[in-house]
Amino acid sequence: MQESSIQPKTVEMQQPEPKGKPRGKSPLQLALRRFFKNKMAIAGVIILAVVSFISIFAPLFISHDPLATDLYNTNAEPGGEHWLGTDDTGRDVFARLLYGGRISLIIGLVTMLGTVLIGAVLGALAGYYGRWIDALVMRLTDLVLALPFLLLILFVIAVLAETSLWILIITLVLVVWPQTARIVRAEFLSLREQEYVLSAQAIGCRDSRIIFRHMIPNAVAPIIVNATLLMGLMITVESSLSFLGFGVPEPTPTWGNMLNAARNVRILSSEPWRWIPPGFMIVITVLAINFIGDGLRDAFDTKSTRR
Amino acid sequence: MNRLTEMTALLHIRNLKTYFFGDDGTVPAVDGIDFSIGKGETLALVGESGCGKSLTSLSVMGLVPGTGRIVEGEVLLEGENLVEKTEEELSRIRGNEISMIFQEPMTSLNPVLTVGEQIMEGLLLHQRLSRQAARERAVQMLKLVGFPRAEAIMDEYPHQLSGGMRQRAMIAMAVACNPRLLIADEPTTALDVTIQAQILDLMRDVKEKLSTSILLITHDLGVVAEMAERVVVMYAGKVVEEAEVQDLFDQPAHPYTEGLIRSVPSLDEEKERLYSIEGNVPSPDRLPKGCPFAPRCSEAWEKCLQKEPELMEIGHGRRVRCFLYDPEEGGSR
Repeated sequence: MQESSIQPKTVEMQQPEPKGKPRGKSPLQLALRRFFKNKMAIAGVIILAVVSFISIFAPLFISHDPLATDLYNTNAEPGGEHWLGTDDTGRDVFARLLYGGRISLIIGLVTMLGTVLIGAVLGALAGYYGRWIDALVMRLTDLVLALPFLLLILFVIAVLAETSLWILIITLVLVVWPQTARIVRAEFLSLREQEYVLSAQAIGCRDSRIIFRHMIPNAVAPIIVNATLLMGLMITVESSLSFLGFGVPEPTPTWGNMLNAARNVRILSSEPWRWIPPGFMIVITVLAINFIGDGLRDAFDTKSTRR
Repeated sequence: MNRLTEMTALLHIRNLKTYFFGDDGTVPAVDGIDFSIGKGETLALVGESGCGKSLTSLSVMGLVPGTGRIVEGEVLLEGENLVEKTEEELSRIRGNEISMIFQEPMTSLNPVLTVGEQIMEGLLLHQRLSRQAARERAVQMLKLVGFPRAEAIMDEYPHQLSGGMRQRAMIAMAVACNPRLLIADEPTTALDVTIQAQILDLMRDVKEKLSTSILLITHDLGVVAEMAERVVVMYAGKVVEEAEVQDLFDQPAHPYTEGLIRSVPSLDEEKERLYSIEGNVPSPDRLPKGCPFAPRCSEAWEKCLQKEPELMEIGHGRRVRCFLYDPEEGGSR
């Protein structure tokens, strides 16, 4: 055999040095860079940031307590003291609007996180192991998806005889996790066939390491996109439930139960300041989140040409 | 070198059978294979697509895919039977004592992890090194496989490397823990010819430096001539011939090997058409009766269609599975 001098074998001649940055760009970083070139998505981020800010720091913007009733000043019109007037029990509508955002955002965020956690883990297990685990998880998702959603919520409320924010969140998570689980499972079915998974096995990685270190990071794009869109959906669902009276109970202010006022013909026709603002907030918040979701999808999907 | 005894062999495969259990019945994809690899030896496993050579290597690793299962036989690594090991024990052997290089450098590295993280992974799993020490060793390995700016490559992602560079990184990853056996499954098939030569050189150098044995799986006889010391030819899940590399090229014993060698294009001869063996490898679930190669064999006679020959020694460390070498059955060679 010829003398083994391995060192200077100029493999990298053609490869230009990456300019400036010493560290390489991960696929995630590349996607985020594409994301921040998307104007609609940036608008979404800004709107969501503003809405979150004024809801979280509501006390900085308004001194009225959203729960304080004032029976001497009910159904007031918008004015200097109460910017959007007061409701039937004299609570300040503007204060309720700001504080209501907290509930919507908490529900959207926590439901999304819970759904992603349960859905991603179950979907990953189903897709990776296949066989009976897959069959079990998929039948479970079939079962949940077959249940009429509103009926299930009504059922839970009837059984527990009350609702609270957390009961609502748990119920929502239990109803929507199958969506995420199916997406993650489908992704895992194709990832499992990738050579780098075999290569990770050949280097001696155990299953848990392969799933969480090698495969989930590769499935993160569809998970993030799905999670974002779910968050928007959950805010809408909370609003509809509250509007119907099955959501977060009074007196906690939510955009949904403020809309409840619009069920009254008098308020609907002569006091639009009671229901247009919460409706508007729901629309722009969900719209902003959906812009972000679409932006993320375009950023992650390198095959799509429309940017 | 004569036949390896079990004592001197690093890896000894005895009567290995890996079957697939599908809906349409059982498919004997690897059907009773025997061979051994000596310490520091390069053995080439040759055959057409679908003859079971990749599955043999995956069986050695204990990574038989899908519905497949090892139904019989032993894979002895220095006397320890890997077939009987638990998944837990196997994962301690994989990447540490036996590791593997795959065909597709473009897809065998994880796109979301840096090259450095992937090379360090085996070291961290098997060698109880600190991150710092693992990193230093990984940089060393990258230098060994020919990256001058190894430090920078550590923090790059696979998509920033070319195919040849990725295959080098794969080799660094596979040999990082200094395995005793390196399985290379068509390591150069997906590369340009010029890069192929570099990678083969590199593998030879790495083998010299780390005294690793190599099981080289390929269908490229050029690569075999370049790299291997001994050759095992497989056909339809069975070994049909085993020989020293020089003997094999000088005087192929099995008609199938003969056909394989004749179908390599040559620059010296002027031929209108390249020789090709008639027909295809039979699917392992529809093997013909008798010798599986008989329907494609120019030398076959009635005997071959009725009964399957045994693998027999024909001297000089050679084995062949053909009636031509069996005087009792009317063989003439």
